[in-house]
Amino acid sequence: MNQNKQKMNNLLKRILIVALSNSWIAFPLGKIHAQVSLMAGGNCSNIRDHIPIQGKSAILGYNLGASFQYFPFKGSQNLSLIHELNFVKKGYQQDLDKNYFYRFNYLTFSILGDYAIAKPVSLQGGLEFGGITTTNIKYWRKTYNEFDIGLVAGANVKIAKRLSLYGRLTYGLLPMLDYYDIDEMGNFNKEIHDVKNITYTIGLKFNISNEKNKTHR
Amino acid sequence: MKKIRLIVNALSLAGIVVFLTACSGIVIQDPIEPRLPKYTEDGNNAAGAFVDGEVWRSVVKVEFLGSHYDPYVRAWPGKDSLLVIFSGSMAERDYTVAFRLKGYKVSVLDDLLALDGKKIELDGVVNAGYWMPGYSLPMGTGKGVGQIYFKKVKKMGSPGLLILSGTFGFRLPKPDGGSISVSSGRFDYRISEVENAELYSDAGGLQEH
Repeated sequence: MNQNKQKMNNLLKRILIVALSNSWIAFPLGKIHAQVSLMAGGNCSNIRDHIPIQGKSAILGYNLGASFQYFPFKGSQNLSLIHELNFVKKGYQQDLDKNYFYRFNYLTFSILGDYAIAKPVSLQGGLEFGGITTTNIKYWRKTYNEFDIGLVAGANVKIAKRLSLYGRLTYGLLPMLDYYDIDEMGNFNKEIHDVKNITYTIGLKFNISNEKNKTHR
Repeated sequence: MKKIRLIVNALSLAGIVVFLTACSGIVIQDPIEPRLPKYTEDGNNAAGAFVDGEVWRSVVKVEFLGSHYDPYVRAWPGKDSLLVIFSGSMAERDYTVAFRLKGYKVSVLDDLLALDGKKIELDGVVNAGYWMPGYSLPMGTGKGVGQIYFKKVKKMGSPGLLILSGTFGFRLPKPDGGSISVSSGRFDYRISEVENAELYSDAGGLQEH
């Protein structure tokens, strides 16, 4: 099980490096209209599981980061790509004899497509690659998988010249846990690859540099 | 000269602290049932179980003046008897979980390797599980029926040292009627031939290590 975990981690590291390096290839392709923003928000995170995990419930967290949005398609000004680098607090809690909190601090990199459906509103979707940086759990590396990939879907509403409100759902695709289903007598029923993140986020994005507006003036 | 002695003393002290820390138990929280230690096969020197819904935990604690909650293996190959003892605490009182097993003539520590992967039925007659207050030996107490599973028994790097990992669950009668349920048990111990094993010869005396 540990060897598989190691292989998976190496593979995900490679994917993350490739995603990060490829994402910046768009830059040299001629003059590009871009926006750089700072973003911050709150999130409500929980897990999806099949095992099941008794007494689980959601916890609140936050996310902080920066976003780089550019418009690579000359023909379509409604369509843009967004790269985001965020620090995101995810996790869940378990209410048993007391509350057990599981907090995972991820550094995430997202690649999103953004399509403006009306003047202030755009829909967004894409992938989030994340790695756990810290957590409140001792020896977490012996239990939880370091990397996660999530599907992202959401919307962005421009509420002022430089300010917009975003909301999104991140649906974790990779299991955080590789363990065993052990019954009360101590039988190992099966290996389990379970516990996936699910995070609802709402936040504000502040545009600090707007190359698109400047060039259009 | 004084400085060198001071450095040597400091290093020795640091070495002792590192040694004691290394021998003490490590509790890795179970990701599904956080009240118990996770099942591991690393020699973490920890164990846990539910006893009638309460949590019994065993974490080896090594201090300058001695250690607490060490596991013990006692074997009498002549009598074909093997006793595996885990001590721990529940609700701030010490309790011991023990297993008496037959069919494994253990005369040296490496004989325990025969237990690797063995799921042993505790029938309460030939093999039995025990639950006792304090550090007492299983004598005259109720005999538990259930199982112990030695999922992984392997040698550690140094000779005379094994890792004993597995799970257990059993039910035993109370003296005043009813029964006690010991469930979701798991253990992961380092067993040293010198520190944790008492292997008696056929004649009854202790084997020389």
